[in-house]
Amino acid sequence: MPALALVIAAGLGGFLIADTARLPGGSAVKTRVIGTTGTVAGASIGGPFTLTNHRGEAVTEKDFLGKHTLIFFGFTHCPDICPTTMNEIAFALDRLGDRAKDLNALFVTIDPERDDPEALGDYMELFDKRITGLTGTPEQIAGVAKAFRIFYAKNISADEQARPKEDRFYLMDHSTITYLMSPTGEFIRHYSYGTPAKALADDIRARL
Amino acid sequence: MKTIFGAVLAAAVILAVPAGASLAADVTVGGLTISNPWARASTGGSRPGVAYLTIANKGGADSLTGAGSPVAGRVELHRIVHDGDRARMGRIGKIRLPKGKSVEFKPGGLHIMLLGLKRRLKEGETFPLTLYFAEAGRVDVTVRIMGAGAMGDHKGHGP
Repeated sequence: MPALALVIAAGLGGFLIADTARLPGGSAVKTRVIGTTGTVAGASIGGPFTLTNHRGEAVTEKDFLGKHTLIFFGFTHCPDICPTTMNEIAFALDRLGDRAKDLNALFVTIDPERDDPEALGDYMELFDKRITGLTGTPEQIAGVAKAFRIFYAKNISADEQARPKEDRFYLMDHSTITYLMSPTGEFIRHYSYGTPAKALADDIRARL
Repeated sequence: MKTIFGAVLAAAVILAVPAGASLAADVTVGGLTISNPWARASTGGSRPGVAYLTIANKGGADSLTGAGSPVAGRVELHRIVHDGDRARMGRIGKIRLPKGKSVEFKPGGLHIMLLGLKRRLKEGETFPLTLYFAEAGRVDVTVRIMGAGAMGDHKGHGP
C-alpha cells in the first residue's frame, strides 16, 4: 500500500513505464505505472483539494477561484527542473507587471515528507513571494496529484539505500508541466517544461 | 618565511574577493577544455547544489569519472531523463568524452550535483571543483555562483 501511494498515474506520458521505488527502511518495490494514450484535452484535470499554504493556513481550491491560476508540482530538494520552472514563472510574473495580481501562482510539493510550510516559505522567499507554496499530508498530496493527473515517485538509488539513514538522500521523479486553470477552476492548457518566461507571460496576458 | 607567509596571505585575500568571470576562466589540459563552470545559488537546508559546465575534447577519447569539491560532502554526476512530461533523475558513473566532441552540462540535462553542502552557495561568489578524468587525471576549475534559478548563459530564458 505505501508503494501504491508513492506512484500516481498521470496519464500524460502515454506509455508504459516501469519504476523501481525504494521505501525508507524497506525493500525495493517494483511498481508499474500505466499511462493512457489520451491527450490533455478532453481529460478531466483539477478538482477539489484541501492543502496547507506556506504560511501554515488551510486552503481549498475555492480560495483560488475568481482569478486564473498557474499551478506547478515539484519539490524543494529538486536541483534542476524545479528552480528552472520557478524562475520562469517568477520572470513571467515580472513581465505581467500590474496584471500579475490577477493571477494565482501555485507550487504544490509532491514531497510532503520534507516540504513543510516553513520549508516552502523559505523557498518562495528565494524565488518569488507572489508564488504560494502548498503542502499537505501524504494523502492530501496524493489526492491533489491524482486530480491534476500528476505523476510522482520517490527515487532513491541502491547506493543511497546502503548509506546510514542520516546520510541518505532521495529525489523525486515527477511531471514537469505547469497548468493554467480558469477563474472557475477549469483546465485551460498546460505549458511544457522549459517554456520561457516571455512565452508564458504573453500567453497568460492574452487570456486575462 | 615571513615574506612567503605574506604572499600566501595576499593570495588568499585576492581569492576571497567574490568576482565572477575572471576567476571562472576556461581551463585547458591536454586536449580537454573546460569552459564556463557555473552553479546555482543554493536554497538552504539539506537541499543540494548543482553545477554545470562544458567540456570540449580535441584530444583522444577520455571520460569524466567523477568530481569533488570542498563545499560538498559528496559530488555526483547526474542526468535528467525526460520521458514525455515526466522527469527522472539518475546518477551516472561516467560520461564518455569522444574525440572532437563537446559535452555540455546544462539545466534539464546533465548536471553535477553537490550533496551535503558545507556552506551556502551565494550568488556572486565562487568555489573550487575538481573533475576526475580517466586519461587527463585531475583538473581543478573555479565555479561562479549565479542565481537560484539561473540558466547560465543560455539564451531565451529569464527576463
